[in-house]
Amino acid sequence: MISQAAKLNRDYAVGLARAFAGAIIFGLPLLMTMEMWAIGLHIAPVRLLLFLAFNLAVLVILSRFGGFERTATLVEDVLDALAAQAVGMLTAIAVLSLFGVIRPGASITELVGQVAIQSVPCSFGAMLARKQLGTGEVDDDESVAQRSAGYGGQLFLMLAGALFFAFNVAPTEEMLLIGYKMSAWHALTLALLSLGLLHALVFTVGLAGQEDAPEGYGSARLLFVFTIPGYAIALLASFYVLWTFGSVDGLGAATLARIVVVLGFPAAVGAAIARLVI
Amino acid sequence: MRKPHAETSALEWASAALGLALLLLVFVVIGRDALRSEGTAPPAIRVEAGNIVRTRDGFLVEFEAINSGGEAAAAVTVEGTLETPGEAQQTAGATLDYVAGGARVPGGLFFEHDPRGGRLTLRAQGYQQP
Repeated sequence: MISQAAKLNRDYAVGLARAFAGAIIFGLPLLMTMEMWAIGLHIAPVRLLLFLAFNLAVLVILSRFGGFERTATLVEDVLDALAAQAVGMLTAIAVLSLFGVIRPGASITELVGQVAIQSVPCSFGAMLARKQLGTGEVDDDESVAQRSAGYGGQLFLMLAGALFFAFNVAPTEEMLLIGYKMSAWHALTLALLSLGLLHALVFTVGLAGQEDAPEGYGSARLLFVFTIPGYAIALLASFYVLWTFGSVDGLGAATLARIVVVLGFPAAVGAAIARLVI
Repeated sequence: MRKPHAETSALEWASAALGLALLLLVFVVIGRDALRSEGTAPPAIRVEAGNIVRTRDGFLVEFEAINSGGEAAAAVTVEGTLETPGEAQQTAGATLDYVAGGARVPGGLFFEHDPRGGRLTLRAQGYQQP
């Protein structure tokens, strides 16, 4: 006879295994990006700590909205966020060691910096594993669906999606290079296109898993209530990620705005499709 | 619905505890670094020679670039000068992508003559701020 405790442990172990799979799926592109290895070495320590704290907060809320196992209380969400953090870091350590990126002679600061920055996308993947890799069991928990349904929840999902997409491309040199190649007109066009795409993806195209527009909301109202704040969130997330990596230090306002718009493009797409992924 | 505590398995507590421990470790290590680099000491890189290995065409001098400053340096150029009595002075150079604060980054320089028979000077020439 299987005891209740053993069954709980077994269920949780399955969740953990999924979390590791999620961490690898979502984390691998960045684990294989050399700029990420370098960022771990020269990132400003205070910005890294701030970002890790922010990441943990996002993980806790993500756990409330889904997570890799079902949760009933906030304490459990915090526990799951910490576990996702552990999974993210262990995955980063294992993969970076396998690649030979982590050298035996490295200083502890160096090592911790490299692992900490990589743990962000990995822990994100760990947290999303249940939605992506779950067996498709129906949530008997109505509350989980309700938790993310409010206006604040919608905006948070946009933020999480924007952050993840922005984080995935922001470390590369190309973000700055694209910003330098574009003219002001290119940037303006890209901003308008991002805005239009966000609006279309969220409300018009009607992807599976997307919310229907709330009743009584006209197109103009949707634009002001969801699309424009959504794009603002995408731009803010882009700026925050770039600032964390230190890639925008010392840039003039015009160049900075252009680079934020460049990164805001993938961020807006991330914000728009967040519902599908999270 | 069951009580929340009945649903929290031992493995869950263990995973969360591990996560908390790792996170605290990261905060302590990076936080210490943050406090220490408050005065932001610029990179201070010295180059130490290591093993000298005979190759087919000459000699290899292994070295380690050690950054005893606080900040990381990128594109660090290392130059080695070898003065052997009766021979022309020889120089060799290498570029290291990154030398982080407190890090030791290994590399190598090639010379034609045996450095043990002359005077070998190794130094870092400059860097780019990352």
